[in-house]
Amino acid sequence: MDQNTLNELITRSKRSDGNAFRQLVECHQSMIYSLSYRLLGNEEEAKDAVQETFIKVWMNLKGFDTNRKFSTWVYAIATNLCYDKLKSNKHFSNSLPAEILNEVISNEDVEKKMIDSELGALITALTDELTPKQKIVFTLSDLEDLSTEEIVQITGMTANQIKSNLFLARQALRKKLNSYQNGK
Amino acid sequence: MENKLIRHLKEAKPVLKNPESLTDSIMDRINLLPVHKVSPLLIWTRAALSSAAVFLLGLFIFQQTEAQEAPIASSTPKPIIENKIEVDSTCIQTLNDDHSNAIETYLCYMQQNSIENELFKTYPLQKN
Repeated sequence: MDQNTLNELITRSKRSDGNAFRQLVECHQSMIYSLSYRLLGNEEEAKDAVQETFIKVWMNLKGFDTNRKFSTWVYAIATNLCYDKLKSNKHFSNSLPAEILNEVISNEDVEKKMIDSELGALITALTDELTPKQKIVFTLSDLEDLSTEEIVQITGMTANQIKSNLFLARQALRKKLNSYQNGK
Repeated sequence: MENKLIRHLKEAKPVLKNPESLTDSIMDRINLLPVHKVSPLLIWTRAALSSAAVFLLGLFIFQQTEAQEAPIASSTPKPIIENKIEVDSTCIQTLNDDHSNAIETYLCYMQQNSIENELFKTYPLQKN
């Protein structure tokens, strides 16, 4: 979707045009689902997060500054919602799903896709010991491939906080993989 | 191993099954949200009441200002009856002060009568 069309849809949605907002949802929901799934590791929770995100977008659209990037703003709302869910979720320590992990590590073909349930199980197990902030920074930076500047805008953290959280997240991940390899 | 795993995780994007139904449920929830629309009648009533309040306040201030300025305006000719009472009391006081001077009292009345006559002449003008 080009910028002019997007701006037009935003303007119409601000005037409570449901059809325009529907197009905005259709255009951005996959992106938000992907982020929510990677953070929450569960299809139902991810869908709930997508719904809540777009309801918040609709309710706050009148205050949206059109000079900002719309996708970054939607990302920020979704990330805040997932952060609250991660904080309230009970913390379980999961052991790594050996079969999936072995398949991933032995498989040279990166393009080969994992099915969503495998991906969810793997992400949940890998990141279960990370704090919500570390998990968010790791997901946005390493999985969603966003720049530090964008993560600053989304999370409201400083660049240094992002760097330190990312460092700690990678360190925890490495530690988990090493312990898995040593125990094999 | 770590980098390879991250690369795999990055490539494996979660796929949203049945996106139309998710869009529909989002739009359904949005349509259920309460709409805070103000009726035009309420807008006009508010405007009319505000205008009336401003008008009444202005009128009150105007009347207060007029009331304060009233003593200054009293230098203008007084109504005839009010003036007559003042004339009588002046002559009676003179009479009480000096019982023997009947001529002076008579002159006082004569003088006041001439003033009154002048006032009666101007009565039609005052009435207008």
